[in-house]
Amino acid sequence: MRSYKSIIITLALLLAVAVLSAWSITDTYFGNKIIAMGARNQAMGGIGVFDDMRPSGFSINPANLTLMDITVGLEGSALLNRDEDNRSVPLYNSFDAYIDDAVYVSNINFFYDYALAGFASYDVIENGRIGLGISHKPLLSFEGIYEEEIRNNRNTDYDKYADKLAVNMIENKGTLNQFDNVLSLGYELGDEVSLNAGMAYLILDGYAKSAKTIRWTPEAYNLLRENNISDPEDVLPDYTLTENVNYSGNRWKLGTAIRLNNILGFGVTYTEKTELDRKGKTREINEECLAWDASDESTEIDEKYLLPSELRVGFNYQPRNIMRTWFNMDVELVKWSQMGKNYDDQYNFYVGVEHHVTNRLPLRLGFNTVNSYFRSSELVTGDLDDDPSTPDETIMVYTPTKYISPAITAGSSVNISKSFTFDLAIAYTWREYQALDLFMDTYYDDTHYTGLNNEVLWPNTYIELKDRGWENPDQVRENIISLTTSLSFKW
Amino acid sequence: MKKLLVLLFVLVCALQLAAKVDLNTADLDELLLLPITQKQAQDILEYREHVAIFGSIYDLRKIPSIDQKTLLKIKDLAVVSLYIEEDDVAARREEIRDLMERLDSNEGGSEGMSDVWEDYLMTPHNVNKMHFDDLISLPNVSGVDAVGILRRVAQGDTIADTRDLRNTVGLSYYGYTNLRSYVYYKEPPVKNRLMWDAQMQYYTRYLDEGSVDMYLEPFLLDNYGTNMSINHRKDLTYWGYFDLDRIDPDILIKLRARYGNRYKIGWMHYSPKGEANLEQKDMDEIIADSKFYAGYENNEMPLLNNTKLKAYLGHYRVTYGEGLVMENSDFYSARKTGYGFSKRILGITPDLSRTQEYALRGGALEIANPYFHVSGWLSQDNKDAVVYLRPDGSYALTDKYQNDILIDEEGKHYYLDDIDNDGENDQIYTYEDGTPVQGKRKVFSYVVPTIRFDNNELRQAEAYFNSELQSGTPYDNSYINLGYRKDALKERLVGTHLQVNPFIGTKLGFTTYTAFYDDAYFAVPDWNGLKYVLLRDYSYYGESDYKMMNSEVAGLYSTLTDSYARNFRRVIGFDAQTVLGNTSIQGEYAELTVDGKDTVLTDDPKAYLISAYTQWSNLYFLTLYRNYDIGFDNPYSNAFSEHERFKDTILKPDNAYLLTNPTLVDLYNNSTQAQPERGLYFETRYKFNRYFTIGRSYLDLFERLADGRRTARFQSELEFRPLYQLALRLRYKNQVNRYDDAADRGVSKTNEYTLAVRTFLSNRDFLEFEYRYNTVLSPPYTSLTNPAEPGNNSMAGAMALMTGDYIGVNYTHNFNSNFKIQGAFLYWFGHGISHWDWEDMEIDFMGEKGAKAWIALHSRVSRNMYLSLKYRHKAYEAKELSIRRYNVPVQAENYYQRVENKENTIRLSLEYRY
Repeated sequence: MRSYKSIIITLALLLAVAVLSAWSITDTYFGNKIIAMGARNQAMGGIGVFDDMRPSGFSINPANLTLMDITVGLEGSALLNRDEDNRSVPLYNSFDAYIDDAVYVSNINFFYDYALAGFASYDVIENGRIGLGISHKPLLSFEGIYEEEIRNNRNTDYDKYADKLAVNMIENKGTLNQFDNVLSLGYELGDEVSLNAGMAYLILDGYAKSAKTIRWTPEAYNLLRENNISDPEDVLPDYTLTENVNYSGNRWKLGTAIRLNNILGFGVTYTEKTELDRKGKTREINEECLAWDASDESTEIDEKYLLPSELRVGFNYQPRNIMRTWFNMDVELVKWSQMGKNYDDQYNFYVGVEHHVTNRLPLRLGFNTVNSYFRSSELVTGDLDDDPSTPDETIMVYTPTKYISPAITAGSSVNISKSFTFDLAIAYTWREYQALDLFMDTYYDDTHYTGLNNEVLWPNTYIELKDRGWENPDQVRENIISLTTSLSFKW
Repeated sequence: MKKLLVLLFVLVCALQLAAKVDLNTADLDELLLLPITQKQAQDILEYREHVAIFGSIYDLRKIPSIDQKTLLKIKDLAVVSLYIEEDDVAARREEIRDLMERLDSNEGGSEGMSDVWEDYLMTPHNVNKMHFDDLISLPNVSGVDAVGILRRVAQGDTIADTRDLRNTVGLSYYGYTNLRSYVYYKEPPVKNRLMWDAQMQYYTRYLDEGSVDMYLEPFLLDNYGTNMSINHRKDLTYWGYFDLDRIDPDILIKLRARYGNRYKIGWMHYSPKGEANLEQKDMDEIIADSKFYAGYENNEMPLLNNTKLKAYLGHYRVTYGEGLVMENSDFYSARKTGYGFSKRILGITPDLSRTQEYALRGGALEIANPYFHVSGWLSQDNKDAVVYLRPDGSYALTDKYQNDILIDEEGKHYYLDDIDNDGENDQIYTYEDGTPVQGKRKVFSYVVPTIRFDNNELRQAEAYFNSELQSGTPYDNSYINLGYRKDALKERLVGTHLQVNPFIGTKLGFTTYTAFYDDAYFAVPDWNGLKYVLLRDYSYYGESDYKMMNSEVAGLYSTLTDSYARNFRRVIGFDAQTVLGNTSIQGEYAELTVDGKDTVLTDDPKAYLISAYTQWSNLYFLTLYRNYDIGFDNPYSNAFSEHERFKDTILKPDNAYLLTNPTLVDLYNNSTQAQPERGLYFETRYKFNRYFTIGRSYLDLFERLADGRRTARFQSELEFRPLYQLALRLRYKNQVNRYDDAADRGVSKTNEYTLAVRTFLSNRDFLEFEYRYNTVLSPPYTSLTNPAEPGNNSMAGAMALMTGDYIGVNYTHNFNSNFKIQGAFLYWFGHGISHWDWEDMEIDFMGEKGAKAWIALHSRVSRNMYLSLKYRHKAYEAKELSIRRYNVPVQAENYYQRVENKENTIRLSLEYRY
């Protein structure tokens, strides 16, 4: 029976790892933060400043390593994400009433990752313990796939599909990985009282590859040909923008975990602000057309990438209850203000409870709310130097937008053997925010490329192709379902 | 020798016991003396420390690692000592647990009252010393019940215990079952000590449909009819400008502490969607937006027998009579009779509710004994108000002569008048008697805004909208001339209540308050003048029903009229109650001072209500008559009515597009006052036997005074319970609205049939199926019936019948007494009918059609700590069409496909009670 269980679990883990990936494309710059590594932490809302239950606990607080009071701990986790990204624009009825938002593009993608942790600790003196651990986990994910079709509304009256004129794609890949090197010291003041302090040297390393393309379709070319425009492939310009960057750096994390008695413990961690090296290059390829000459420009990137400092405090409460119960709550302060004046410090909140509803059957529930920013870039042209005699200047303006991701989580676990535990967690997160249109509409106005007075690709005269700025942004609704599985060993 | 033998025997027994391991006291080393493994010993320790103290040796079997064999092995080697954790507070909390849960789940319907009742439950009052008002303030305790108890006590009898209470002549069974948890007899169940309660709630709420319609209304140019290329811009609505699509949680933090029932303090901060959170505010803002109190209560005043004193500083609630003069709340509830579960807590109570606008902040004092009751209160607070605005967004000012006051560059006030008759206006700085011109803010009304936007941000938004309005075809009102401003109205309020209780169960009360506005005038135009300030284009005013209903808006109180200019609003009222046999009769009369004298009754707008409640053991009758004048505008009233003020007026959400500022709809959306109506209401409940019960049933015959619409509304419910575990419930509702006027509005008839089947499973689990079917017969409203295609309006139309239905399933599963899960799934098709659903702790309204599912987990983490987590997913289709004017064709297509909405809602509540 036991080996049967192991096979299922191994298969589940393999299955989780074998699925291909993608995630939110909004966080291209700041990335998607992976909240918790272990499935138990994930099921309990991402808590973990005081966690003596699973070996990966030391990746949230290094002091958890000796808090666990075991000799060897190993844990492997696999994470699978499904992200649904729907973007919409305001829908007005003919009575000038804005009635709601109409979704014009919907993307569903999958993403996976994995994490590993291991440590060993032993008693150096009678009540004193020392432990060393290493772990690998993704800190930020830059992955994302976005596909959008540009269609006119020709022929829809006759129950046909409208012409697909162009396909817009964004493909982002990459992860910023964190490699933890942890030292922890613990001292037991009594049977149920212990002080633990830990430090972690975190090596951060990763890459991000991004490609943004616009490709005109054969239908668009055919429409031009039908209007007696020859060589339409040379008339409509494709567009390509790529960015390849590598990240490297390191940071320190300090933590303490104090068990006050057998029902209460609390912990604190502090992670320092750090600047990573972000190096790479961007390449922008514009095909030749009537509106502009061909260009293929590369720009080197060599800049600092800032990770703000974080202070997290939390407690664990194991009351006497009619069923075995663990309750954890963490509050995290992220000093986003270190990013610049348009950012405010944010508080994140994690809470989770585990009840053993029957023997050996834990039911875990949790909630978290994480406040983050994403960054939009916009080219702004104007007389920035206040000198009317010189041509207008163009600069890139970065706008940070705050968004909230609340999540509900649940999970359970199975003890495979005395030392092995399999944990499973599921989390549901959603986000609702406004963002700039990812592909501005004037690009698809074919009069720029044909030189004609009327659009060939857009027979409906009511359609006005103009760029939408912040006065009329996209309404984005994302929901993310995450499945985390962990296999842990304690000895 | 005998003694020696006994002693020896005891010693032997003691040694026997001493040799055994006590599971409730042994440490790990001692447990390891038993023939068990280290893991089993550890598990025993953990069970004892984290699950329960051992009650018997057989409890060991509840530990997974200890099997029957092990138990038998150690059974004779271990003992379990008797160990009881003594804590009167915990024991009391356990006793009242079900009631506390019920109160928590009713919080939505009785905002702020749960705190008071919860305190009563924890530290009950001595039933032998309670006053009439104390008793009738408790849920389901009637005046007749109260008189039964008071008469018995007055005769020198002392109620000794719960069983004794049951024997009280005149006390109904319902009264008894509800009362018994709120009182004690000889010794209070909990000794005086410090008790505190910390609560936090995080809630990603969506706005209700009326508010969404209001904020979505765009500020667009007046040429959409001629140019169909509508500017699909989002930022020209409040919705888009303030980005109301983003997730923005409501966060509530509440802290209360008290020492017994004597000293009390509390603080609450609530930041709803769209408003700044606590950490984003400075100290002044936190103080302005918080609720807090410090109070002293003494139920045994020296010198005066059975006299009670209450003194509060900070925020407090005041409720007297039927809530006609004073019941301060931002929350309206229909058909609040004051009986059964629809109670008022009379007197002065501390207030940490979410009420902001009608919150009273200052000091309040109450002295009560069985024969008299005196109270007085003072409040000083800044209130949100709909104010008149100038084109630049600044406050419009007026003087006592109704001149528009302007401010020059030096900050001096002046008005314009052509005093030298040269055809040009002159700036006048002083009146004829030499007094300098001094303008005051011109206010339209109090308001409870759905979102209390910051005033500066609001001004910027309005300037942005104004620039759009002024750039196109001119409107009659081409700028936002009326808008709400946070804390714009400085209000000082003084009030008092005097009451004598000459006989048991009889009381006569006098209540009055005066609110002073030193730097503002309320100025509301008359019935016909409203169009010039409320409407963007006067031409729409041709609609007859707007005209008829607008007397309700014009009935708002003005402190500045052609006949007077004053700085106050005063309401005076009398209330009375008496109990005759098994009937309790009570009523209240209130008058708002307008043109008449304070000392003369009936010369001013008035409101009155009288009700009689007759009870038998399994039957009651309630008869209630009310009559509220249109001009009776008392924002602090919260009396019985079918509808809140401004329903169906020009301020309803459907008319937002007509208004100069769509947010004026908040006057209706969040109205707390009863609409002017008069009518007769009957209510009854009868339990035939254990199988059949007629649940709360009522008939209301009333007339809406603003337009004379007459309505008959009837609802009845029959429950059949063939087995204790099974209940079948049939509910029927019928409403007929009739207009006998020239506005062609006709008659509408609504029927609603509900069938519910409930099964009570084991372990208090619960399963329910419910089906509801509705029909509405009404004149053909295009927004509800099929749209009239342009050019195709050639057929004669009469009435239209619409049908809707609803099906749902509810399930509650208790894993154990500390952990339960609730969930429901339902599907509805509204077709113009708004369905409602009572979820775990709140009511949800559903329009049009859709489906939703919700799941709520309630965990009692420990004896003192409670966690509840709820998630709801709702998918529905909004109106397919927002036709505002029936059969008026416009160019191009005039209907759109239905628009799908999806909502994810999460609510986390954490509470620690000590």
